[in-house]
Amino acid sequence: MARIRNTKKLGQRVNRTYLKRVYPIPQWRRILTFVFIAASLAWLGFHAVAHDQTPYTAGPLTAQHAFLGKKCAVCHGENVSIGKRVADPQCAACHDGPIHQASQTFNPACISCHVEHRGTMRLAGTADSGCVQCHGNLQTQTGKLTIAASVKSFDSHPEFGSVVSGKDASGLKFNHQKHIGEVGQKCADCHTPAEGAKGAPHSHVSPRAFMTLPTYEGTCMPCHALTIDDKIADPLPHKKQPDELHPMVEEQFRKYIAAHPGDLGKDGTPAASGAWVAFKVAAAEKKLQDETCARCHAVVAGADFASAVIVPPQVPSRWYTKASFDHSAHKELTCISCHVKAPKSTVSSDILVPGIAVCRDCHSSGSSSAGSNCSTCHIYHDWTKEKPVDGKYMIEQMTRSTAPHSMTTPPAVLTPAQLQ
Amino acid sequence: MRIDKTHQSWAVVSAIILGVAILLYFPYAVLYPGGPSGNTWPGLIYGIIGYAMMLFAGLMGARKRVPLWRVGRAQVWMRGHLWLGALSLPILLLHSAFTARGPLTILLMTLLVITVLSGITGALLQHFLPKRLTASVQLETIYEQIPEVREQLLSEAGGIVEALCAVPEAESAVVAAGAAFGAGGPAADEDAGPELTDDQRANLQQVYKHEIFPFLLNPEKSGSPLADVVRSKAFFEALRRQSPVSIHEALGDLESICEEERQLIEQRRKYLLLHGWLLVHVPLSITLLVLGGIHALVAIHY
Repeated sequence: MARIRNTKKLGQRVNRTYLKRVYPIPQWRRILTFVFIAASLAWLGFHAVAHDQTPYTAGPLTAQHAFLGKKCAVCHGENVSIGKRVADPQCAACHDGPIHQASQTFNPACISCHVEHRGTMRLAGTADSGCVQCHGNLQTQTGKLTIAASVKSFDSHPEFGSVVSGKDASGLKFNHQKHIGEVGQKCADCHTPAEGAKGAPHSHVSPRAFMTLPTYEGTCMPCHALTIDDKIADPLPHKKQPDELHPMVEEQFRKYIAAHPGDLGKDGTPAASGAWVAFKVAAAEKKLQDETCARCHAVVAGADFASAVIVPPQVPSRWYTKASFDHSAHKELTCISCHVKAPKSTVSSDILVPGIAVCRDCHSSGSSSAGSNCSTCHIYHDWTKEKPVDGKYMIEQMTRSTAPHSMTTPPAVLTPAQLQ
Repeated sequence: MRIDKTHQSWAVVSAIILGVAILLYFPYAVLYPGGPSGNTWPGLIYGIIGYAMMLFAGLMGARKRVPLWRVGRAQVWMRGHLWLGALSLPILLLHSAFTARGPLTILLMTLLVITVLSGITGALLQHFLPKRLTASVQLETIYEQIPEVREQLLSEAGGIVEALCAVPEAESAVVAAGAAFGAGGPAADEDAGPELTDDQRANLQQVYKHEIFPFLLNPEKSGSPLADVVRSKAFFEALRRQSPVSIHEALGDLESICEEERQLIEQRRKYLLLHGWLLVHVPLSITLLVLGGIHALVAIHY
């Protein structure tokens, strides 16, 4: 007779106490839960015992702040409150961030621009949103604006001020085309990086960021010596006005004829010494006024040469006065790839610094472009107004793995007992 | 739990919450000075909502432990667990601005991802497997009772073989063994008592000792031909050919016992799939809730 599997028979097989037993899967679930929680708490407890708060960090600190990583309270303070942020005094305890503009209506918190816990990054390389919160719709205390009212990105950045002016008003006459094309000079023959970076607004700018102003003595004199006569080798000094040059010219001819009396009366010159000197001085000064000086400078004529005025040129040492362009960061480029107009420029009134369109060839908002953040070119803090910071802390206060110490109320000096 | 039309309202509400959260994230990410992060006010709100969702999902475990609590129907809790638990992942990704840089936050994010993925895996298994289990295991029993049922099957098979191999003088014993399961056993029919020769008896004992008994004793490790339907059928066909017709019914009972054993194997395998994921999901989710709470407290403190 075949096996019978009716409900009654099946029911008899069941051990009715089975619900009271603990079976493998639920048991292992409990064991694993206990193990995971215990391991996690042990990990946190180990760090707590060592007074190391590293596990709770929101991310690695920048290299400059990394040594503070074990003590949250050094920057965050001790007071508990929801949504509390690192306050400006915590930053100012070590860094004096000079004001941006005296006329600004809003002073953002340090941390709104300088975001920490993002690992190895340049803390000064702030996000555009920090700048746009004001420059997106710029307001000033005076109500007057000297720059664009709304800039939200490099794409909406206006043309550079130097380019907008449309004319180089330095007053210096210079023909780039002649020097580059006919003479065959190279840009670097006259323009060299400035060692020491005079005018650099902050130390992070490369010491070779800026170009020096070409000087007469350094670049022009080898070809354009200020000689007054073929027979007199000594040139006149540069940067002198005609009233200063006139006695020098007279002196040079007086000395020459005294040494060479045989030249009196030659080539239609007067035979008397005094008249010879006067004749030669008049010819030389006319040449100076009409050719030699006037080749590069504007000369305002007077009753005679001595009363004329040579207009000193006002060549700017920096063309991008509100930005910090760094030539050394662009050294892989040829000069004319940016200064496109230079080889064809015949007059010095041409603006030869590149406009924003040239920059945008590489610096745009696309992912494959060079950076175009505000901080790529601009610096928020006016570091010329930087004040010294008085140190307030002992090394142990900032680094030692003891209970966190609030930097808002540091002791003046730690006693040996405290250091223990 | 099957994910069917009854989940529609939960799915719609979850999609709306997610859509709103994502829409709000874009202006926040673009405009907020310093960029999005967990310690901004919007980030904090995302974090609170995400943790609340995790807590709700976790409370289902507490609700199960105390079934007498009349706090909503169990099905509502389960649907909320599924949908809000899954939703907590994208909400907490928005909270963290899609990054995790600190040791604890990296651990939390890892736990969250594994917990949610294991939960989704479990939900899919719970959706598809029960139907297949019903189809393939008709002789399903209470999972926790499988070891005891196995013992009973082994005892039953032993009784049948013992009765078959008993010498004629001991027919009363055969009757007793046959009655071990069912109203009567193969030897209960007094007119058709076993007529086995000594060789057939020895053969049956050998077969039982070397094939049936090891399979029933240790069904998941024996590697026996009886663990396979086709080979088992062939095995018993061969056994029948070697045996007199009078014991074929008893052999059929042995085959039935082996079939039941195979179904228990299948039931156990599917049960492990159905519930094994909980070994990952539950411990990690509880750890996540504990560490998430610590993270929240420390983050608020600093």
